[in-house]
Amino acid sequence: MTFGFCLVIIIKNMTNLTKTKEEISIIVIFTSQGPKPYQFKWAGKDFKVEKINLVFEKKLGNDKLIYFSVTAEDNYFKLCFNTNTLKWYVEEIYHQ
Amino acid sequence: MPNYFILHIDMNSYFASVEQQANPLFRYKPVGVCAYLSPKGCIIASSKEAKKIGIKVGTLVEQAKQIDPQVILVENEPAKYRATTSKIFKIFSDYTERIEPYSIDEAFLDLTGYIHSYQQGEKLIKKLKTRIKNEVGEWLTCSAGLSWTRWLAKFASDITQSDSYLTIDSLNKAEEIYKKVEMQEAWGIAWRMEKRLNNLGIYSLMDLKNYPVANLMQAFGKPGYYLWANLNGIEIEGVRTQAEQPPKSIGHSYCIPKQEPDPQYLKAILMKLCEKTGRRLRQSQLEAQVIWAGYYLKYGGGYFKHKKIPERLYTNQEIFQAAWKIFTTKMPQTKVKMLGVSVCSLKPLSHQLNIFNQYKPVHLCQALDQINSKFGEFTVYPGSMWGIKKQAPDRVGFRKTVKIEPKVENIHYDKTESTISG
Repeated sequence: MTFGFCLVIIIKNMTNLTKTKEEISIIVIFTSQGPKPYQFKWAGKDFKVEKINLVFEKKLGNDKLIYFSVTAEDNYFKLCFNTNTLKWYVEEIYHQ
Repeated sequence: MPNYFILHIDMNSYFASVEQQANPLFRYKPVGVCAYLSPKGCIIASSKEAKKIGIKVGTLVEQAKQIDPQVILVENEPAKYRATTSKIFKIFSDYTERIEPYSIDEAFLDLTGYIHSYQQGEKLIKKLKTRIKNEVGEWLTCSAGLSWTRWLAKFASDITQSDSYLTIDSLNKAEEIYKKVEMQEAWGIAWRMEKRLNNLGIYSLMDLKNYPVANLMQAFGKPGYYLWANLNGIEIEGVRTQAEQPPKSIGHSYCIPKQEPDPQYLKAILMKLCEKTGRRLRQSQLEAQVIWAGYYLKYGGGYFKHKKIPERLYTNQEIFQAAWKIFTTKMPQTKVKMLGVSVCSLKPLSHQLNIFNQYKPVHLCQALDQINSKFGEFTVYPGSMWGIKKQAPDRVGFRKTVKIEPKVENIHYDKTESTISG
């Protein structure tokens, strides 16, 4: 029910920047420069990361959050990796 | 000319460029980064495309939407800009240990000793630009100015076009530029100063350069000499690293959304500003002797006052009590637009005890700091702040900058070839 409600909001605002916080399943490559998201599943669809545009970090208490601004299939996503819980989230979506 | 080399680098349309870097779908479109997205929220940075259509810094959200209903407006995200600035400054620290971070998007680099000619300097500028694009983001551009004084370096980068550089290697070249640019384009000369200079018969930068310095000092005092010296290529301050310029004041202000003279609400907001100020004061291992606090009213006017406190301020409670005391001397009667608090006359921590044994909850304050550091800011907060926790959020100021750790041992300089190597 909650998921459906979120999806409605996201689809309704698809032309704008939508803020959300949804846990996602993701394939990550750990390189010498750090983790790089490769592919993730969001809203029942697989998105392959085409380009990592910006990476930045934020501290939330002892938790370190690493944000990846990525483009995948003509969409923009802001992915968040919580290094404490080792969970990944989608926090922003933008579609033209 | 003295054998000094000062480089000033200024990132172009910084916050908006970072947003366009993060989201390529924003590129080639007018983008405004706002303090708040409410209609009266203010644009704090606009992209090159937005500037072209008249959406500039200071434009209100509602005005921007009137100019272009399709304009993309995003709320600022301080962590994003600070992290990007850190990466850029880290690149700078590969070339010199003497870096002055002037603001979140500007820095001075003292390259004296690391380069020996302006040709080397130009090569370095090109290299820095390339590294920023490759290592931080391809959409980020900067303007650079190279000269032998700090002022001339900034003047050069200010007047050059975006994504370009200008070197001023002689006073003759500086004079050629002075003849072409308006007085207000010079760093430190705004419309009020220009008017005062006009009253002395100074109508151009060349007039100012050639004006008798004694007469300028008579009119303006020391700043008169600084103006003259800057234009004549005499160094005043030089590049000052972060260690050489400790903070003069620590403070916060907030434009409140609920513009009412409700004392409980104002008290809660003031408490939060004091909490934030206190946290930064203790993180810097400092204590303060002077407090400055007050408010601006919606329909003009306001009340600000500073006061010297006999016992140095350290805990949030002390800061709040001192600020509230100033506040209550003249409580606002009409709608309040902005609240502000700042502590100054900062001194290193003395741990001086009070002879009259007045209780000072230092350890309690430090324990609360530890909790908030571990679990996130405002995990524990005073009861008077109840209900306003989300107000006065983290904001990025242009004059606030990030800490840099110079890497002296890895400076990319090859003496044998007299070139900068990467």
